[in-house]
Amino acid sequence: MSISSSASFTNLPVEVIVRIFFSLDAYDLLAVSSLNKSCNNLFKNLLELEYELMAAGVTKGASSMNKDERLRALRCREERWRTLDMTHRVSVKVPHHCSTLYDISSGFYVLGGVQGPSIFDFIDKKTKFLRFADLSRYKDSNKNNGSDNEGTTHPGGERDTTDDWGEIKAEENATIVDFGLCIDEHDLIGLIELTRGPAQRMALTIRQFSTGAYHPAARKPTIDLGPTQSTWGNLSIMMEIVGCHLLLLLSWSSSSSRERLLLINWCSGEIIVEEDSPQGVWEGFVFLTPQIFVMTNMERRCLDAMHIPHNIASPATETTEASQSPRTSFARLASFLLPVPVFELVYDNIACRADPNPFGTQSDGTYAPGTERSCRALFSSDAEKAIIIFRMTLTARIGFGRIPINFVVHRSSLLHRVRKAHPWCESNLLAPKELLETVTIPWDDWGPPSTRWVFNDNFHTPWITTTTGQREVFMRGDPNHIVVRDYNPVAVRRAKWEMKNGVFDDMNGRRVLVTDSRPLMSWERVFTSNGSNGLPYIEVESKETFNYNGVLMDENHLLGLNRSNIASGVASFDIFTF
Amino acid sequence: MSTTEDKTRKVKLVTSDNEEFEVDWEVATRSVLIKHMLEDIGESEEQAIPLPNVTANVLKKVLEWCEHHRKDPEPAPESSDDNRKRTLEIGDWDAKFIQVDQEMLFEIILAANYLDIKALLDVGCKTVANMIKGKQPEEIRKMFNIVNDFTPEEEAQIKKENEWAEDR
Repeated sequence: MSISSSASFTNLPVEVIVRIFFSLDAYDLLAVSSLNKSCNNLFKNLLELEYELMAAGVTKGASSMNKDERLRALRCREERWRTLDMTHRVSVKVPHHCSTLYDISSGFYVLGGVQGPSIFDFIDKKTKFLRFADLSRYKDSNKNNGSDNEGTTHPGGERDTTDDWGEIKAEENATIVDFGLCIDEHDLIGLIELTRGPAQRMALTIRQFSTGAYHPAARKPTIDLGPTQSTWGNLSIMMEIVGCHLLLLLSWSSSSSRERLLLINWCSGEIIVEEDSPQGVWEGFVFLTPQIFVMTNMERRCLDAMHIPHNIASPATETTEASQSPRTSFARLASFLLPVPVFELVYDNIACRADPNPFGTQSDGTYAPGTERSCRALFSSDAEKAIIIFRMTLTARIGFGRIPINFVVHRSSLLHRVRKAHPWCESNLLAPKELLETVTIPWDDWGPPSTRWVFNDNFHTPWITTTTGQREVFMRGDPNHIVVRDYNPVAVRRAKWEMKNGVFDDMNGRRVLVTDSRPLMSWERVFTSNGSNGLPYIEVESKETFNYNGVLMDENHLLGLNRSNIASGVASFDIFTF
Repeated sequence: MSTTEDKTRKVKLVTSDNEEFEVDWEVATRSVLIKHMLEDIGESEEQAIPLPNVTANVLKKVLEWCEHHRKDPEPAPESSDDNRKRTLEIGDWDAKFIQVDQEMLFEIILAANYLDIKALLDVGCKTVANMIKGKQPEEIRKMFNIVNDFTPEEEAQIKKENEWAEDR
């Protein structure tokens, strides 16, 4: 111990040392745990859970448990994912005819339903209602999800009663054309409904997810979005909700139409920004933080990081009716260029997904606490550490050739670049005009070290909800194995070390570590840019084989989907709990 | 209490080495401890506040920080760990301010902790965390003069558990 009476690290009070340690990352926490006995005790008594949460890329959850229980539950969950333990399984029948609308989020599986015996309703697949299954309820027939890990098989009863499903109905004379979920933060669902009649109008309604009623925090629960016309072609919609912001992309298939991107404050009902673009430019977006989102741009073959300024976030509540008209464009912070295809190929479409969404920030800069239910729920992934999957198709200029392509990148990799280019972008200040310049980031600078690519139809299911946190799921072979890839850099580093020291557990060949960055075999036939892809991952394949039509995941579950033979909708599914 | 009065009001502080500082009420009350003491003694302006845990050279430095941050909004109550944003970023002015030798750094941290100045404590803690960041245990021990008091068996055990993380 230090003998001098002067201030030193070792005579700081414990609460201060804890405060210092709390701002360290997982590796540094391990380093300080091995400094001396008192630091080691501190770690074991106060920081071990914090460390394991961080190492797993998980932020919160299980608020009702004490520390030891949380630690045990977390370890149990991580171990099941690591080994892809698929023994906790329940089969569920879908009690209605499904439309194509669906989502899986926060432990709920939501499926659109068609109504009526009419064959036209059936063919049209017009969604008249949504039904949702609370996935966490289905573990009840098993052992409780926590500590015990007996490894016994639970066949589980097949459940098919509608009682287990919640329901949200469309307004009279309307059909649901899309919806967006924000369950953990606000118990909210945004519905886009189309009213029947000669002039079809689109309306956004803000409802409470748990009750289906208008959301109590929404001052204007119904927002008119204007008309849609059959001459504009098929309407497609994307919606994400973070904090008080609802971001909505409306696009139509006909080249005569224009795409609309709207930023709506769902609490006040006001449209804050509305930007439009020619048809076929925007395809999908993902929030990086409450203030920054990434939008795909097909025209310029890039991902645009766009900015939602703080000072327009919450329009003054006092301003009455005729408040200022919406802005007409978002600020572009950075453009991440995508690899250039060979002359014969063009980008055709691109979809993206990251889960969970970040929570909105409060006035003091902390994240919103979320609903009581979400605090109680088992763990949820750190949004900023999560991966984004991009799923796209390149098509031949001439002929019908198409190449399915999938790539993965961490939100944090993109964010890091954006923050470096625009250090002001997350402060409360409005940037000086000259700083608003868009920084172009060439593919070679950002892509090769931080992405992972596959050219494979296995990834191109009709369902994109195949990722949560830093994991991604897909199926391989026929009958299929379920495969989970984990891109968590902490797990990867550990596996690298285990590999080097000959202690890596390959689970009889089911588990592999992939760290090479060689370009894909056929890369050169598709792209002219640098094709090395250096994002490492650990892959684990299920012992069992299945015959699913698709597989989905959320925080604690995998779902294996079965379509019925008659309709293409989902008829039943198996829930695997982790 | 009336705010117009507060703006002009002066506060006297006495350090452990008996030096007296006279500062604006607004500057002194960056410290929650001082603020509460002032509330307790009421409006009797003459009474000096004793700070037996802080020496003059440290208080001078702390007051320099308080002076610069006198207009900052009241800090929000500590939020739960789950909602905290983990960042080691420090503002430009603070970063320059905290460029001091190690002893002074720890003195400032101790003073900020004692005086209950959350934002300054944060600056100090983040600075120390930044010093730790990316270093091996041996380097950290050396930097902070920490004695390794593990038995060889304990050390071997810990090394076995943590070795993977050192391999960067």
